[in-house]
Amino acid sequence: MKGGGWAVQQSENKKTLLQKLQEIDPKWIYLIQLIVISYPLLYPLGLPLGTISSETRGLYGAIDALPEGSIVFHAVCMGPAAAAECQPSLEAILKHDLEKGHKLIFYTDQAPGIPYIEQAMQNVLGASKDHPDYGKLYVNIGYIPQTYTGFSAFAADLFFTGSDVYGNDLRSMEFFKDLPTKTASDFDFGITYGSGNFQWIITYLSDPWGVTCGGGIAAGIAAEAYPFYPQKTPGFLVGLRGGAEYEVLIGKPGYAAAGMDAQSLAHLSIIIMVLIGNVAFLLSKMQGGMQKT
Amino acid sequence: MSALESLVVLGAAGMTLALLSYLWRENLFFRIAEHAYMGTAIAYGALLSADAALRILQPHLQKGEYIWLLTVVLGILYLFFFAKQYFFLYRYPTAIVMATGIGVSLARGVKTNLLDQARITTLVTDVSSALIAVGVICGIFYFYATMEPKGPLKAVSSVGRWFLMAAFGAQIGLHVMARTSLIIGRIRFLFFEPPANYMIPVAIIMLLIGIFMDYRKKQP
Repeated sequence: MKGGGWAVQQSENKKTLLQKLQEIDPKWIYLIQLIVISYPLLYPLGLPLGTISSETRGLYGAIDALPEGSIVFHAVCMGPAAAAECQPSLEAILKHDLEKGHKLIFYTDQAPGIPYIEQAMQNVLGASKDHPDYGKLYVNIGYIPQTYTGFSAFAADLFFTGSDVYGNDLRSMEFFKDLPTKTASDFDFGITYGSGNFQWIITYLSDPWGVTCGGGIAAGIAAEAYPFYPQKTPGFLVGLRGGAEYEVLIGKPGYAAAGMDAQSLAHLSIIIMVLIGNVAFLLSKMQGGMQKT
Repeated sequence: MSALESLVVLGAAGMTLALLSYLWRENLFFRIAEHAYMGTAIAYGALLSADAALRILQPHLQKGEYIWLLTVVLGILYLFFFAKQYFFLYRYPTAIVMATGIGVSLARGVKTNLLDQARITTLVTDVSSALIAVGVICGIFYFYATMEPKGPLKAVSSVGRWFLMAAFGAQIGLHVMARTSLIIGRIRFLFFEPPANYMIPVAIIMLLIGIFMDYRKKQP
């Protein structure tokens, strides 16, 4: 038993650097990532953001062009898994809406989405249900289950739920008084946030009701959004970077922009580790080939 | 910040660190946090779903449209999932929800995701759109299995494979960005939202104790 252990120990010692590099314990990689991400958060480096993407510019331009009083529909379809990426985008767009004097209506297809709407309203508008303009300029419909069927019913009749998330009667709200059709076609713009999917807002709001739509989406689903750009959507924000770009465009760098140093360094460290792993693999393969010959 | 709010933040920080402790290895704290998270999320979701259902139902009942109570009956039928003898009753609401969902999705989805996408893909206006068109066509041919890939078909399908690999690479890059954003959010919370930062030294001490105990176990 002891002899076997000794033999294993000897073979461990004989491992070349190239072999060791390919067998690093993932815990060390987690530790490196933790340090690389934490350092710029504690001591910001101020790395440049680079060129702002055309998707972000497109969304900014579309919202900026909306006249005062336009109704912007915010579908906050996100839970905790996407909030770290999408909440900064939501708040940046709300700040822009506020500047332009847009009317805002909030909805979510996920139960955990409600606190994120509340948080965004608190952070940007200063209050949610207690805001003096709540019911006039802002309405929070809240959670409607079933994205496709639930939203389709709501789009066909904005009073489908009867009351908002706080239990206030929608029909008595000033927000809805001047709306001509009381359907989704009264919206001037729609934006979805989250990691669910992007295509639903094009399929269920943009196409049937003729509302221009964009998104503040999680990076993981960005590939789903690109097929619709630029023909069906003027633009969308991709992950934290999209939020950071939007913050720069509205001239209010905030949460997302501050996180980009960590984001950039984390990517750099991953690229370096991928390169090291691949180079080590190729070199050890070449060495193995040379030894055989 | 009130004492209750401080407790909530400390609890959230503790949960975050307990879940992150999985990176070291599975342990009791991780399991407690995992089960607490699942339980809370499901309870929260169930309550809000019930609230939303009541909100939607209320105006119809006030108008005397009692036919809407059928939806409540259908909802209750879901509970027969747990009764072996009456399990068949569970199938009725499931069938209705699935059929409605498929009906709504097909009616809208075919136009937006198939017909319009096919039209947009063939609209070549610049280099990007030309690349998309070539990528889509070659990518489809990669999965064409009716004929053996030979000659030009083989060339087209291998171009498709390159496009697919590029797409997967981009997807992985985007996922890395998404996951990094999550950890940035948590680290920020732990560092900058007092009193969450008080939990960091506690977690470090507990981790060191755990590592030391693991080391002692390994000793002969």
